Amino acid sequence: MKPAHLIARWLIGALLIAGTERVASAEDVSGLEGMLAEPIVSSASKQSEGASSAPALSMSLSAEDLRRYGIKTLAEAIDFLAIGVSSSDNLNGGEVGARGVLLTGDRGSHFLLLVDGNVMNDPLRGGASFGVGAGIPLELVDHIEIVVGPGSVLYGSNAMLGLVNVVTKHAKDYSGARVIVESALPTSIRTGVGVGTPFTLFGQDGEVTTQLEYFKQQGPDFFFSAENTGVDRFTGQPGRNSRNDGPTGIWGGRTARHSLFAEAPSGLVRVALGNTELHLQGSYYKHGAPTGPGDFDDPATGERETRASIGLSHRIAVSTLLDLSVRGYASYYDTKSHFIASRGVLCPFGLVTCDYASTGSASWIGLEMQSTWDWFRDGHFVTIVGADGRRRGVQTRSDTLEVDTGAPLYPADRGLDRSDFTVAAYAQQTWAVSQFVKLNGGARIDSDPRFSPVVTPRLAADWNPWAGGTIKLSYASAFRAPSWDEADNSTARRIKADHLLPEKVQSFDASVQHHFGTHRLIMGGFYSHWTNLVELVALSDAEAIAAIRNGQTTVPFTPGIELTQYRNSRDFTNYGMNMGLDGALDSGHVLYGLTLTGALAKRNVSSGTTRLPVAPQLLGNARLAFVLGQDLPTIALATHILGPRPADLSDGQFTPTPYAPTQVELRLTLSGDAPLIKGLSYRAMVNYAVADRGPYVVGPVTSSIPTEPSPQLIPVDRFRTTVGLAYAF
Amino acid sequence: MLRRSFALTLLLLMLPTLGIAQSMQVPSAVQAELTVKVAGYDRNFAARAGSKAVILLAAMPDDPESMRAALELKGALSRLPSVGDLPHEEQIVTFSNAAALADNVRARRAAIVYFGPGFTKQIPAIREAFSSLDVLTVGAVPDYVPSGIVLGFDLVSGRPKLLINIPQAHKQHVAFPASVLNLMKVY
Repeated sequence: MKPAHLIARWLIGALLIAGTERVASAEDVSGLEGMLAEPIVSSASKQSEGASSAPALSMSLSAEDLRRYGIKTLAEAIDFLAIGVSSSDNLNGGEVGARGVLLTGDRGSHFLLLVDGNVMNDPLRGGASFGVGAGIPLELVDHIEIVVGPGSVLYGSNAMLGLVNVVTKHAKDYSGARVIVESALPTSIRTGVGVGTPFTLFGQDGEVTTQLEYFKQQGPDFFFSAENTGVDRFTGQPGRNSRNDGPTGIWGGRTARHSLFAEAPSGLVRVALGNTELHLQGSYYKHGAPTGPGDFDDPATGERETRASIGLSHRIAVSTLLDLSVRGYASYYDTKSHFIASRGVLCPFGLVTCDYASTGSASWIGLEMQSTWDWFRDGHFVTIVGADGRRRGVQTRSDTLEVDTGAPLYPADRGLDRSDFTVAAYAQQTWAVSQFVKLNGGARIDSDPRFSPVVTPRLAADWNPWAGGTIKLSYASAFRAPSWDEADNSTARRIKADHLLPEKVQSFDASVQHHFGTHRLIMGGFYSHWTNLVELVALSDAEAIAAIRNGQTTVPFTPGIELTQYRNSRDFTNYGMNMGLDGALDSGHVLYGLTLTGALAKRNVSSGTTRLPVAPQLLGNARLAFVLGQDLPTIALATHILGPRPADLSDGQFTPTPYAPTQVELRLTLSGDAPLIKGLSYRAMVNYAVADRGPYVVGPVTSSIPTEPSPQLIPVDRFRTTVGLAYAF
Repeated sequence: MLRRSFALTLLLLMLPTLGIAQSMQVPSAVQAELTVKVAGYDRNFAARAGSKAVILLAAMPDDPESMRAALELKGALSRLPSVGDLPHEEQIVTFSNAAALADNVRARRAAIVYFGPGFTKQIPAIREAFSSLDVLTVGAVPDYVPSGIVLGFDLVSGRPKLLINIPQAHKQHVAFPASVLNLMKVY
């Protein structure tokens, strides 16, 4: 049968999903297919279980889907495949949110990112990268588990919006060697080499899997409209917006060709021997930040981040009652950022250009021990008790330099040089009351010397009242400890915070799931309450003057000076609904999926309530793939939608409030094995974004001024073609 | 302090390995449901089992992980009402050697024999001893199947995967329809 006929047949089938479930033959295998389609997850409860019975909204994104739908980063996986989660591209590493909450500027610190159970959030700010800076080779990923909602009960800080656990492949699924080349034409290229092999050592079976890769991006070149910054309050002349130009007062007005770039070499190694596993990961991520208020298109404005982590775990089956596991881990993070500015308000030292250089490095080393007690030796009543101790160290420095000479323009802030010790203990009880009812309860207590211990409990129940149906109810909580940088650091333009408290969230979730054959439907609702959110607040003129008078900053007084401070300034509520439907037709030759989330996050302000900036209230995705088989390609179409979102500066800076329009991103992917050359595979993607602007204000005009009453929103790379080849041998 | 923490980590990690490398990829509850489901497709299952499906759960002596797997599967199976529409009974048997286990299977007219972790070195002998038996052998560890266990479980991309050793299935009179085999990785 010709491919076109096959597609036509499957399209008709897709329209009739449930109705076209063919009459059961003597061997109707739809039930078995459904069981094999049920994801197995372990992140929500640290126990392996079906996703439908996990004590939270859990999903598993498979390696096949990542390849099939042209996924290149974790952020794209989230956007195109996950339920209730979305990313937002700020051309500076990206941001991630969930269920109507996206806390712009958080550097991903409200999600906990794990790779094979090892924490990837950085020790300095708790940030996690979901873009190319994550340094996670996609070809090495077996599946990605995403748990939506608070998850501190077993993991501690940061798991407020949820957690993402990337599980890498075992050697059996990544055997031999491979070479990968992929390019988003003509702006980026990614090359990689990977190896996976089993071995035997000291009479024990072992395996090693690794992939090293290098990513480089230059562009795309975006045109930025001219922004007239008017008369500089410091010089009394039009502002300077580049190192070499005179006082034109104009930022932009041309294409930026130098400031959007990235370079990211990375590597991941996993070695297993017996019950011992070693995980090594390292990455370097250098990237520009082209949209800030500093000099236009200056390639020196950007950041360099270096990450390294090691995890060594060992499991001991002591008896049929008791399992012990111990995990030693260490993580190192180093960052150096530059912000180049010539305008007098930002660089009040005459006709010079300032280089605000911030450096920070942090590390931690820790030990986690966990015991699992299977009281009746049959898995139906299991207790997990664990403890985690961690030694942390942080150093920061902030300098203001004259860009040409590198000489300091005024004394450096003293920065941080701190170390401390945190401990945590947790316990979880699971009880399979019957074949149809399962309960899960637990709590974790985290002790941090900077604030009182934080307790994060969780209670969950799931019930199978009918064949294929599951009803889940849960209460969960989470917290985020402010980073040392937020809590105790100051920079040239930020004064130290006053006793920050940990952020907290409590959430109630309810969902109904139903499986029919290979099709799965989930519908759920949630209500969350967030307290003590840490926000970088711009000081009023009076506060800035007081801060300078009190010696809270070494910045000399300048009219219009902009200072900031981290504060516990936000409480808000967040509620909504989500639904998802996915499945397969024609014995897995047609795959589909659909998710939709509607959520509100409102915080109280003096004038009533207001939306969170950047966060979409409506988000979802849909996908359809035709697996033609044999030597024919898999054809996959994926799309994701984000509703209109207020821009990041939507707190009265501009009237009317700037909004990014609804974004619909479409991606067509062809993938398969190349004919004639054994071991060679390919994929080609075409990506199109409907809207040309995102929810971030760019340039120096950060509030309405007479010359620029409305803001310029960040541009979107609307059309991009990517091709990739992989050769396995 | 950092040095002490690191030393303690290393010390704990060097504790003797009481367990073994082969671990189950698929949780016991899912294995139990899949075993029951798949057994129902075996065309010879009803004739083999008679009026009651006897399931033997083999465990290696002195291997807590192996014994726990057997216990967990016993518990999971006991919560399921039937196997191939038949009432069922599970018995844990401690493994001594393949021939003795084969005798046990004959004596009890077992329809299914399940092997948890810990049997890698014994699988070739089990394959030989079971080749003339009418029984469905099921392995918790994926590596068992290419070595001679009829049916096994793996976890690929976060989903359970069925594995089958077709030559061994023929020898042990296990016959699945093509529609079921299409869902399995065939050896």
